[in-house]
Amino acid sequence: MAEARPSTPPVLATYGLTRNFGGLVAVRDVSIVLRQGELHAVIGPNGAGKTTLVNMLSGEIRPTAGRIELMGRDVAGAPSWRMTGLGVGRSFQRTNIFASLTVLENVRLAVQAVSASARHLLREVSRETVLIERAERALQHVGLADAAPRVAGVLSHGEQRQLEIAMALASGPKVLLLDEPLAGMGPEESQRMTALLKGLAREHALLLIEHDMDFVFAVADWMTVMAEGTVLAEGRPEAIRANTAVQDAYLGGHV
Amino acid sequence: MGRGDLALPPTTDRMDFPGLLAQLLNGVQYGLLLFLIASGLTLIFGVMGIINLAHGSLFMIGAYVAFLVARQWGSVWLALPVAVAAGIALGLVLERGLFRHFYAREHLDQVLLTFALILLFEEARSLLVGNDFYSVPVPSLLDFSVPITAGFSYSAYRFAVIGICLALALAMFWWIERTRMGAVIRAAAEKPEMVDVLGIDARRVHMAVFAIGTALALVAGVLAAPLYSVYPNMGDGFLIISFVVVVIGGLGSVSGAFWSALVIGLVDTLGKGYAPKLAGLAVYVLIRAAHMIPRGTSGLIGLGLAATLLAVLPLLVSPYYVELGTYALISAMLALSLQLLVGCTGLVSLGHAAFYGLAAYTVYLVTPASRGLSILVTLPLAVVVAGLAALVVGALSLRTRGFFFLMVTLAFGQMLFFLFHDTKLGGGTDGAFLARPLLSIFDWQLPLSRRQRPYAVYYVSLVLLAAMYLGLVLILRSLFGRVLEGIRVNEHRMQALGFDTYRYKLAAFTIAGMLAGVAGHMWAMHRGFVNPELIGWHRSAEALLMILLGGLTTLHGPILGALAYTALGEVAQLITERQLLVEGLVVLFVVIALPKGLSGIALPRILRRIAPADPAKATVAGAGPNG
Repeated sequence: MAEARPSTPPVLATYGLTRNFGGLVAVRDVSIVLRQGELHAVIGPNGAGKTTLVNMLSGEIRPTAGRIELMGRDVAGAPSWRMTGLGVGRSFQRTNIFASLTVLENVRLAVQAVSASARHLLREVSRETVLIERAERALQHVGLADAAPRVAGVLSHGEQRQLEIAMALASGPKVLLLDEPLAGMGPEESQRMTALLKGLAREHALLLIEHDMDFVFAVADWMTVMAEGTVLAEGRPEAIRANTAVQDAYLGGHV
Repeated sequence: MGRGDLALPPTTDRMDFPGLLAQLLNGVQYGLLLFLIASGLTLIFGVMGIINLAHGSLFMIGAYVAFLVARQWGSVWLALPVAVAAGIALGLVLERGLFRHFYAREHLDQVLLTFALILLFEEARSLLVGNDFYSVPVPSLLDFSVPITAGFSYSAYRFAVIGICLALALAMFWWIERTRMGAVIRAAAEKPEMVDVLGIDARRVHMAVFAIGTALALVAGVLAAPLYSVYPNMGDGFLIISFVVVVIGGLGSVSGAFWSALVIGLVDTLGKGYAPKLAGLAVYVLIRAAHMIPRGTSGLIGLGLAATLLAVLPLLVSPYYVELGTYALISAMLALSLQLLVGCTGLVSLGHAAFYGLAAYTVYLVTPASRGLSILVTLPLAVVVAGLAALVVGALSLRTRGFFFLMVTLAFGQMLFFLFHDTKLGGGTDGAFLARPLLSIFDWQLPLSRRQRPYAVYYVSLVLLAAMYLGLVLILRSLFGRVLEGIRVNEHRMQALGFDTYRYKLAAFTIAGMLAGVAGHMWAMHRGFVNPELIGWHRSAEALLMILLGGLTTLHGPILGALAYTALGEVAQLITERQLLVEGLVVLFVVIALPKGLSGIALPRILRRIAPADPAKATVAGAGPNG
């Protein structure tokens, strides 16, 4: 692990992060660093604790032990709405949107969550043009601008995944946590998403969970391999590919 | 709700040892009876996810079975097999005929279904037996006292009740812990989808659970009849306490229900013995402790027409109908205020009438006997009191979700109910009259004749209702309203987006409470009379019913629903004395056939164009016990 990493400042770091569910340790002593402008991929077999790790970073789950430092400040245990306010945006493994609302409203709510002041709370929505413009920009960013007036529930699966990312982007996060953004996508949609993620990685500290190995090795700047709740290895993709422990434990014949 | 007060053996004022012993035994006996009711409730909720508010009525049916059998054949013992057989049969019929179709429905539909059953059961009881109190003799075999110490003996019948309940509890445990079906039931209570995995015919399990739960409630009623007499609505008090037992014991847990029933039986009985006034409230505080542990344009035209019609109505009809119209407008305000929670935010509260009743009581309490106060004093006061109460209740109850939220709001509502029911604060059970004249502005008494007053109250109510409607329209169009909509559709996602949803829900809850306060204030002005029924959960359920009747998705729905509901009650009264019967049947019809309410049939095409295929329904249901 003597790999040189980009020298951009760490945005989010964990120290000894641990989470138990009853007697089961889902995540044990995980220390990782997310840096500005770096695409950090977390891989590992099912049950390795990847989603639990993301859920702790996003505030959905309280860590049992350990620290989460967001720009030097310990934020472990803060609820999800506060983490979002502090600059952590996320997408969910299973599409999690407001199915009965319009695409624009889905994103507009995301913008409102972090930027509307209490004084404006009773103002009519249509007069809050700043919020709407920002939502439209986020939709443009992910290529969904044309879908804005449609009801989110009728979008294709791939479009809903894009919407998820637009919602995460809308809050203007510093850290983006994406849980399997390619899940269930066709080849064409995957390609578009890949391009999108590469672009996002330049402006954010991006953590990605993904099962598609070809994709991960193609886009990741840095990788963490998890197994049974712990970090098995970390390093640049080339180093991970060459790591025999990783090959034995996880990658199998894939590489 | 004279439960427990009627037939406790005489206790001395000084609590000596025999007195304490008697209270302890009474507590155990009461707790065990509660267990028989609560175990059925908890199983039915745990396995089927149904909140059966009619469970208290089943208990009442059992008590009346005991009364009828004893009158006919002179023996209460015969009532036991009759109750078991009738209970199983009734349970099977209810499960197959009604409840089976409601497992996947929202809590609100389930609540209203079971509320309809209460109305029907009560009406059937009234038809068959009448509305009088009856005592049921203790079986002669057990009509003696068992001497315990020199100066103290205890009723043999109560011992027998304890024995029978314990035997039934043991049989339950054996069934749940040792049989294959019991294993499925335990699994289902933990994880509903497990039942399918285990490959057991879920329908058989559902039927068995419902039949046994129903039979247990009837048996409890039979056993209770000689102790507490039989009387209308006797199931109510037992139902509420049983819900407390279920929540404290843990949903779906029979052993949890057993222990919590014992604790609550003892707390309630000892509390009544030692601090009669506080006891009623004390038990409800427990519920809190327990939950800490788990943790368009065409519309505008229609609206204008309706408003015009309501405005000219008093000129066209007799004073009687003006009064009725006022009542309908007040009900509409109550339903509209609740809609902010139910239809807009997805929060189904069963305690909303508490704020309505509290506002009415506030008017009564601040109005001096000698003269009426200005509406500019009474209205803000009533609204502030209702709002503060809602703030407190909301702050405590909004940490819970779905079923728990229903139960906690219900419990808080009943706390307030008992506060006015059991103390002399507002005239106790009978209620109290306000000093007249009531309606004045500033210090200037409106020179209203007796004939003019109803018209004034009508128009003030109409103006307030219109203001409330417009206010809510503006709220729903605001950023705040959009947050509420987001919470209704997918609260979890709102949190992930960065909304502290608790604060928004609390704000909505408080506003809804204040608006209910406006309605309650006008009720006091209208009738010049307050009583505890204003606060009770029946009124809350009625308001939910009006919303469902009118439609969940709109703001005009609750108004429509309230007018329809009032008209319905009036028509029912004209054609039959059996008003509840008609209402109950209509509720059943609406819940089963019109899940979108009246507005669902009135404007289907327009609605469909505005809101294509409504996937929100599924997400609202997602706020359920497993969501």
